[in-house]
Amino acid sequence: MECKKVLKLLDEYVDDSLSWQEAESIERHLASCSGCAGEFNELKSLQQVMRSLSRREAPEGLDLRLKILASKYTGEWIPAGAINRLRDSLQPLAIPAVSGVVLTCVFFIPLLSIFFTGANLNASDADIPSGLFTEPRPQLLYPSQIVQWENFQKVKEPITLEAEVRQDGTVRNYTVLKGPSDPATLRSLDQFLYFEVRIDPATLFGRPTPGKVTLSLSFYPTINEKIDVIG
Amino acid sequence: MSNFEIGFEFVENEVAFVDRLQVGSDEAFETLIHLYQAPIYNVAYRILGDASEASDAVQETFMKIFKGIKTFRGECGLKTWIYRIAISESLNRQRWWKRWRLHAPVSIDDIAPNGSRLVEIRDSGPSPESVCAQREMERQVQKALDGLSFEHRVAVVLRDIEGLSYEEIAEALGLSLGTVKSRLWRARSEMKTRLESILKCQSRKPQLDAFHSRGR
Repeated sequence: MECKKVLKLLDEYVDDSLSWQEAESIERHLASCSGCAGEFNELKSLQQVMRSLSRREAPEGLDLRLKILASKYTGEWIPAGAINRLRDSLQPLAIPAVSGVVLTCVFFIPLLSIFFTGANLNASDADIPSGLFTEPRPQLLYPSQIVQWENFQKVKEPITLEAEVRQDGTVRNYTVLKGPSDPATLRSLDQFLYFEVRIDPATLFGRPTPGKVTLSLSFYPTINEKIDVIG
Repeated sequence: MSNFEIGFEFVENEVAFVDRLQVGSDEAFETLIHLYQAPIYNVAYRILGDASEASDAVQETFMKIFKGIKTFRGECGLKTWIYRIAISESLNRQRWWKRWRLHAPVSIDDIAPNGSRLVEIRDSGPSPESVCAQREMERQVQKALDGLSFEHRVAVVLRDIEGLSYEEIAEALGLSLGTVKSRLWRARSEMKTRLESILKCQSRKPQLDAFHSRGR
């Protein structure tokens, strides 16, 4: 085989996609041709370099987001495990929790402060008649909110936070005003606020507008011996 | 462990797996995420070169997978179907960026009107020894990847990083085998030039072997 043909087939040779006859004749050529052997070495080195690239770690939280996304397409938004636990916990007998911790979040409704940031407003608060403005109101998506805390965090103290609400009712971001704000709690709050809560947005002149809302969250862990049900 | 070995855990029966996905089984969806989250993120990252862009691309990809699985008819393999969606998502993201940034990746062969090369490869980087350090190498490789055109980058990422076969790449990209081979050849040529200093360091060993076998 001559150099021109060998160089043309070199990539496929390196990728193991040639017949054994073609592969053999290339090997014979490489053994005696330093030019082509050099090309082969370069290609092989490139391949080694590419293969040795470490797999990038997906950022934390991506896994969770995908699972939550999936739950919307499987027809349930609550993971099946938690539904079973809910069923168990509503029975009058004390039943041990299956695994993990199921927490019920109770909303204490709004708000200590309202702040609107509509882009089309130049006037100060005082100029807007309060009758035309309604506050953002959180609503539970389902009659009782069940949140499965994957890291089994037992949050005992209530958390007070302030959330910025977009005009579509989703939370844009939030700040913890009182209560724990360690990374694990914040992660769980992220999941809860960004994906599981819908808030009726503030309205101005009947149209949805961004706003802020203050929320208090209380957590009631269910323990093996005792079932607390907030319905 | 190389990327090829990390690979995929094989789902025993793809048809049964797809069936379970199509009826909306929680478990099947979770398995899908478990199998494909890391490879898709990796592909998106290598193509887009940015972690948060890649993250967004992954979410969009999975959303399209979840939506589309109901009408998936198995004309191609599940894996190649998924890769196809991942790549088209990455392409969409990149097009969006191109519209808002003012520059496009410049090819190494571009010649300016006055005849000089637009891209000069100058070895002004760290010394050969430290170039061999893993992290620096990865940085350089990603930089070299970023400089390729989208088609070339995808070909190299799918073949040399994700380990897809020529046929799988052809299926995922909707191209002929011939086109896949020529894109790969071209992409590798460019990568070899851009990574010259790293490859010199890497290929010292094989050259020594060849040296010895010539009986000198």
